[in-house]
Amino acid sequence: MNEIELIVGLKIPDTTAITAFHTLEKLGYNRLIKLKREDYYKFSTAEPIPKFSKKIGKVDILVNANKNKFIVKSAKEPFEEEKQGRLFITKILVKDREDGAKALLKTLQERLGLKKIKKLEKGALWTLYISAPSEELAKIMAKDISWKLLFNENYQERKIMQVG
Amino acid sequence: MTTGIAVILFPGTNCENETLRAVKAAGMEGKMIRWNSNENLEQYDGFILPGGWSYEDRIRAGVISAKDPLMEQIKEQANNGKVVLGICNGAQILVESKMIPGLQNVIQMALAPNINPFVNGFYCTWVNIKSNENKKTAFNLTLKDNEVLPIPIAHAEGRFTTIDKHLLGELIKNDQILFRYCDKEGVIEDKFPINPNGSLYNIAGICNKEGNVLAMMPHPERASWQHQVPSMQSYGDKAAPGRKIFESIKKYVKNQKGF
Repeated sequence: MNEIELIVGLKIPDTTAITAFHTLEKLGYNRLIKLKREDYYKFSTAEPIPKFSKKIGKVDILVNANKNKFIVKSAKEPFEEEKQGRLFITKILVKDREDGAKALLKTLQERLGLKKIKKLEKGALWTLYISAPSEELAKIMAKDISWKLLFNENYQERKIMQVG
Repeated sequence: MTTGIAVILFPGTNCENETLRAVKAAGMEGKMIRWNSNENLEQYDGFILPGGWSYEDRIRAGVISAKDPLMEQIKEQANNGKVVLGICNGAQILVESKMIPGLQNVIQMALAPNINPFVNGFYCTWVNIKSNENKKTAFNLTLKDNEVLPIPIAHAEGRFTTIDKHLLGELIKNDQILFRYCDKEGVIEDKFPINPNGSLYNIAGICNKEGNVLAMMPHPERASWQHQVPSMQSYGDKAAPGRKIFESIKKYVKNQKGF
């Protein structure tokens, strides 16, 4: 079974990320220089990755070509993120603890005929660009920011996906 | 001297007009105030955070409003004994701002996405709730024992939940679970449609320990006149049961002022 990630971002301004950034700024997190938010999907499928990748980007309930950009990659590969000077980049995935993707999986399988998708996870992928003296401190700040605003542990879980 | 109830307007709030109307119909003075108006809150008897989609529910419902400096001022007023009612999105704001259940200085609960066997996402319907007879608070002073209120809900994230295994016991012990979903006879059963959203312990509303702050998901302002309530089958302008929540606030404020 292949695990494939689809990351969907906005080509137009992301008002959620903008609001989150300004809220954090007002809360005193002035070492957070930039904040990005993308929709994250992880598929378990028997289909080979190149074939699945071509198909999934055309599913318009996941990717609206008018406003979205996307990448598809194997879950085993790291995220590619353009280095931003001396900023540390941390990726945090926030998901609902209860399986929030059941209805979407059913739609993909039954209405859209993507029956080879066996499992689906979805969440919000936040990318934090932090100015910090060290990677370790940047990670601590990123965790603090996520506690403060990005997730509610009473029904969501948070996973640090990548730091660099 | 304090006067009236302030109905707070955040960007995206949309129930302020009918909430203010319900406040006035209960015989109180009321005024809408914007979140950024820098008013002196000391002049008001109490505060209502109405329903809607403040900040478009960005990130999650209520969290951006909860971080607004205004909420620190409202907390201070609540600590001084003033009434604070959060309805629907207002309830979400109170939970995210730690005012409800208010037992620790952390976010102890969430109003999570509904669990509903038939409808995914936003769900609006009429339900029944009854109040906790063991505790008289600012919000149920005029309710009779065992009184069932028909009242509407309209939300996608209304399920009270927590990861703290001990919290429910504490809330029950403190009598902080003020309203629970029930059937029209007042029987509480944890099954759909009596519990419309999978809320823990059929919780529809939680108050703080002192009983002057309430986060409730149903909309009492939409059940304040008989013509609003389908089960009453009346086109009249007489009061419907939802008004009693506002009348309780009025009685509480009057008692506080020593009248």
